[in-house]
Amino acid sequence: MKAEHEIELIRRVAIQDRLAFEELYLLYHRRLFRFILRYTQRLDLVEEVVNDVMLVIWQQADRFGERSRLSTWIFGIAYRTALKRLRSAGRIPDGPDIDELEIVDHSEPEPDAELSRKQLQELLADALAQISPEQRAVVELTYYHGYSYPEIAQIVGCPPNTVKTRMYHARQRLKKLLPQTSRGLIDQQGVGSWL
Amino acid sequence: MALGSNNARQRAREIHQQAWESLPWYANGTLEGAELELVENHVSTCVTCRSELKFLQGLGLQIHSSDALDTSAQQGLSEIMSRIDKQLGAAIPTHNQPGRRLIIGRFANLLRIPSAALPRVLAAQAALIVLLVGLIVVSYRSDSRATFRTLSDPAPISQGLSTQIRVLFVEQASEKQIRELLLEQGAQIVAGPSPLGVYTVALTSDLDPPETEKILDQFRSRAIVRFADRSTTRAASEEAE
Repeated sequence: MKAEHEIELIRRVAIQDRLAFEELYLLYHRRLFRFILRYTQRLDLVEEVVNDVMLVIWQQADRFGERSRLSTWIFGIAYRTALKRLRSAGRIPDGPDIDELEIVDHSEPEPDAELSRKQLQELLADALAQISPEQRAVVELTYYHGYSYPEIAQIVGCPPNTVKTRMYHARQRLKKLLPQTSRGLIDQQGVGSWL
Repeated sequence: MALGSNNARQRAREIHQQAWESLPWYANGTLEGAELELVENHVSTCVTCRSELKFLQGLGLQIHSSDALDTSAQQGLSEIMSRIDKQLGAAIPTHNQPGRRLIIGRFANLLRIPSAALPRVLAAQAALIVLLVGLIVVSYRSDSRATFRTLSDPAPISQGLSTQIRVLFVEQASEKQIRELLLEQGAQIVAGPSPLGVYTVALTSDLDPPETEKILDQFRSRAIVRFADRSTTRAASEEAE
């Protein structure tokens, strides 16, 4: 029902129905804001990038071929727009395969201690900030937005196996970056699905 | 024998590797078919993968609950609508405007005709509607003036029709429904359909903006109307081309 409603909205946006566009904007603003912020780690850019994305949707709604979920198409636009902005800001190299870059781990081991939930989230945020934007996008799209890996491949424009590789490296990196105590706490909470 | 054993070990390693890489999507519930089956079977027998799965589920829970963003969409929405208004002000819609391919595709699917032929079919449909509306007007006027007209007479040119609006009907709208709405609102199709399927409709007289808005609301309130908005002279003339 939700998917059908979204399709109806994008069809109306394609004929420049402003009310439909406003509804779509409100429907996606929060999700796009979060994704772009997590991906770019640049709070100063987020609002601008979100609006750039939404403007592309307004202008190119008729190009949505309905071969995938609307959200996959919109997140694909968001990914490319944010990537372009990061590159122009000199935050990401122009090369296509960021996973081949050697990443130096500057983190220092944390002393073992009781961690509160808030501290745990801070540690996780720090760790996520240290992995590459490409890996972060895959982690975020999987764990927060609940996409399958073929959908993520479509969003970020790479083969499905590359998505798996990025996730594999992200997992390895996160384990190194997170102190042992926090990993234990994360394990304890890993019961059942979060989605 | 040893070769068979080596092959089995190699196969087990491959399955483990495949399952290990797919675990994040097993955890978020998006794996399907044979891959889902493979991971499920493997996890039930592999302690390492079960432990990793527990870690990934905890990680997902943490990431999912770390959403304390205080975002307000309203400010951004105002800004983008203002950008769109500026764009619309700068560029009157043309035949290349967004929506053309989508709408044509929808109509084509509905009618089961090739997209390329759809503009001609729509044009023929428009001609039919204009003809029918023309006939009604002719019939009405011939009653009042007691004059005789043949079917081949051209529709009378309406001198007093000046305020124009643009209307897009839903795909299922019948000619009868469109005709009834136009008659009820004292309106007449004067151009269209555009490649987007939009008709230019003239109202009975030169209305001021609030009056026009009232008529537009009447159109918008009908289930057969997908979209109705004010027209500009230039847009109308383009659609008439």
